[in-house]
Amino acid sequence: MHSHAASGLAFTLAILATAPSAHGQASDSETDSTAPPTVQELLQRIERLERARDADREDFEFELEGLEDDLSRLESKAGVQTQRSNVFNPGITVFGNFLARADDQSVHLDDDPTAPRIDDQFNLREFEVDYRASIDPWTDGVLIATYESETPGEANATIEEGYVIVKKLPVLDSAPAGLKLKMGRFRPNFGRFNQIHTHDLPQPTYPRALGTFLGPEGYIRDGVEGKFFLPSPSESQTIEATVGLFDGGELPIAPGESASNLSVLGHVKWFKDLGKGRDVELGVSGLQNDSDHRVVGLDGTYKWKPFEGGEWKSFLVGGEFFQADLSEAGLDSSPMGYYLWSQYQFDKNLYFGVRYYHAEDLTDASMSTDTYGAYLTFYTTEFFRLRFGMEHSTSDIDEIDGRNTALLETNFIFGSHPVEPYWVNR
Amino acid sequence: MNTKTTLRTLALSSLFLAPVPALARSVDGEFAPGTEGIESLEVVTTLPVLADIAKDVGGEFIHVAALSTPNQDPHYVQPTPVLMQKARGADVFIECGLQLELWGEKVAAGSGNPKIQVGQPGRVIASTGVETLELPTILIREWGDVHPYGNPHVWLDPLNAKILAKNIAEAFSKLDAPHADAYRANLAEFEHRIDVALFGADLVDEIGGRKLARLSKGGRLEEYLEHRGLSEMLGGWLAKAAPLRGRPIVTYHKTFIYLATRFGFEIPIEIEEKPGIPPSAKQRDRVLKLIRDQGVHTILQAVYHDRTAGTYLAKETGAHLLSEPIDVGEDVGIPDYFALMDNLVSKLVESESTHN
Repeated sequence: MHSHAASGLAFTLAILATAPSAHGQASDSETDSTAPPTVQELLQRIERLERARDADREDFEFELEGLEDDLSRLESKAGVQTQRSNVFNPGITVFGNFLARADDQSVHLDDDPTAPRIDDQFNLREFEVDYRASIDPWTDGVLIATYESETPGEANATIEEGYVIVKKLPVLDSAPAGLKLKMGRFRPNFGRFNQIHTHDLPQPTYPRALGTFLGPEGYIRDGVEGKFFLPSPSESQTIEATVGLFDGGELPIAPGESASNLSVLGHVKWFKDLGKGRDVELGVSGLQNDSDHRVVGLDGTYKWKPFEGGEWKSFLVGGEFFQADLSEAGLDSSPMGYYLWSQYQFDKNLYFGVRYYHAEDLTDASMSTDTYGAYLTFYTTEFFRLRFGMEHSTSDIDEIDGRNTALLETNFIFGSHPVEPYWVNR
Repeated sequence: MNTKTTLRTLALSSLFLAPVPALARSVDGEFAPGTEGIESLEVVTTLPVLADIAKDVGGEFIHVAALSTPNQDPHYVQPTPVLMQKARGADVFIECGLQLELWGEKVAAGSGNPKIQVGQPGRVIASTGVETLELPTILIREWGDVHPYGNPHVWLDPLNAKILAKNIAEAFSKLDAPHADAYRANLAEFEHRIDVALFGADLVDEIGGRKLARLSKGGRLEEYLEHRGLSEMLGGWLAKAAPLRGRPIVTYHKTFIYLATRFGFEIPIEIEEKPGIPPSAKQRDRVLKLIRDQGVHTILQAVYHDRTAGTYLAKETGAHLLSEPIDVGEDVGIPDYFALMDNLVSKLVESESTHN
């Protein structure tokens, strides 16, 4: 600002300095011609100087007004430039998920005839509060408190996840191979759907195949996990690996095992960008609770989401396969299960999906359940979703065989919704 | 705890973990530049337009790649592992900010690259210092997809492009001090090119780019030039855009407010009912009536937005539908920032002057 005023002043002084000089030159020339200036010439000179003075005054006025504008703008912008802040409060998001179901036969929780009935009921099945923030230059923190209900009116308050991600250590400038270390309670990196929360699922419920091997809500455990990149063959491909150690037991495949027997998890994921909004991903996972209780998984997903108009059209197809290797009395030695699913987006807010899953019973692999389902999802915005689904099951288990179910799911979010996994559209 | 089992488990885990340092060496050796003795800064940007400006400012001392393409909606880019890998070896991560690229945070975090995390010198929010428009007075979701820090499409005002370039140059100078003079010189050249392209070379020579920028930002350029008898000297995009001044132009999303402010056209309504929410039939009818009532000639939208509503409105009213890129890149036939602004100004002027 000072430099503007100074340059303006210098400019004015230059004009003033030039004026006598011009006058002097004119006088010299007039002296040379031995004729004094005429009245007309003097009037013209005066007029020229007045014009120069007026132009200069206008310049100053514009300068001053400009400075005043700058000042008022600065004053009005005080404090506006902070684009991120979680110093005082973490980012907080609240999720609510409500499910209504109608069945043509009685349904018991976990298909256990001794458990409470859940058919033909409304249920606020999840209410989740998600807090996340940077803790310090080395770590980020996440805490997800959940109130979940399997039967209406009965709920458990749990810490679904609570962990820190160590991005680097004070002794190292950068983490080797982009290593990210996760410590606490979280969803270990096994397969596909196990990674996502109920409210982010592209379907009304977790597939039975996943529930059979990893638990009805997926595999959530206390432990430590490291994720890093492996060298990839090209810029359009990545290979990521995860290794983890977790408390053992509490798994459907290892029901009686102690938490003190640490489980080991390994996961490798290959991702390829096929260009023009198409990509494919394949993963292999392994989880060993102990030498008698193991499960491996394979998963694959293909996604198309065009760059132009990608918010209006997309297509997804994928599947996941599970195979357990068990040596325990009362459990089958190698039960398996899988699911296949696909989803097409018709416009910005409307999605149609189908799924099929097959799950063998852990106690007797000859007893299996097959379910066919279709669902329609409508979003008003990313913060509110309605989903309607229909499912039909055939099973060797009498309580399930022939079951038809209609599902109506509502999902609502308030707060700063964190970005979902990249392959989930909403 | 069963000691034998635990030992076995730990041994198995160590087998998994043992290769990590070795892998780190090979991966880092292949992809990640060191920070000592920098030959060229590795730069990634969220948007191609930022990559283009960074290229102008960084010149031969940087290597830059954009994470998105110009025909993608910058709000909704998928933070895939490939993008994370691209960001892993970066010394600098440049984003526009103002909560436009929420996906950028996921990419930076997933990269595992500590140099580009929030708060580090290698993380550059290019819009810092830009006077944002449409700052919401009330922050509620009822208003749709509201940006709490103001409208983020700041680069569509050439004077803001100078601020983006300045922030980028400052970051490069800090991270690569030996070449700071070169970055400053490149910045000065970029700013001069913007001034010349916006105001015309003659006027910039006469008045100076800084003063012209201030007058234009204050909305007093025209008045000043008239006072000084210099109106005829105005050139560049502003002279070319003269037919747009005061004209009503309908846009799909709140994308073009900075363009409208600089070039003097009005946006009486958006086709979207609220930001991020597709138009209902009622909203479409409201826009249709306004186009007819106000004699709107042009409907303007970004190339990545759905054209259904715009096409319908154009067909019903005879207005031109312009679906134009707002970013740069081969995919959309726009080689650089100057071509981007040339294209937008030319297409709008052509549309306004050829309307029947």
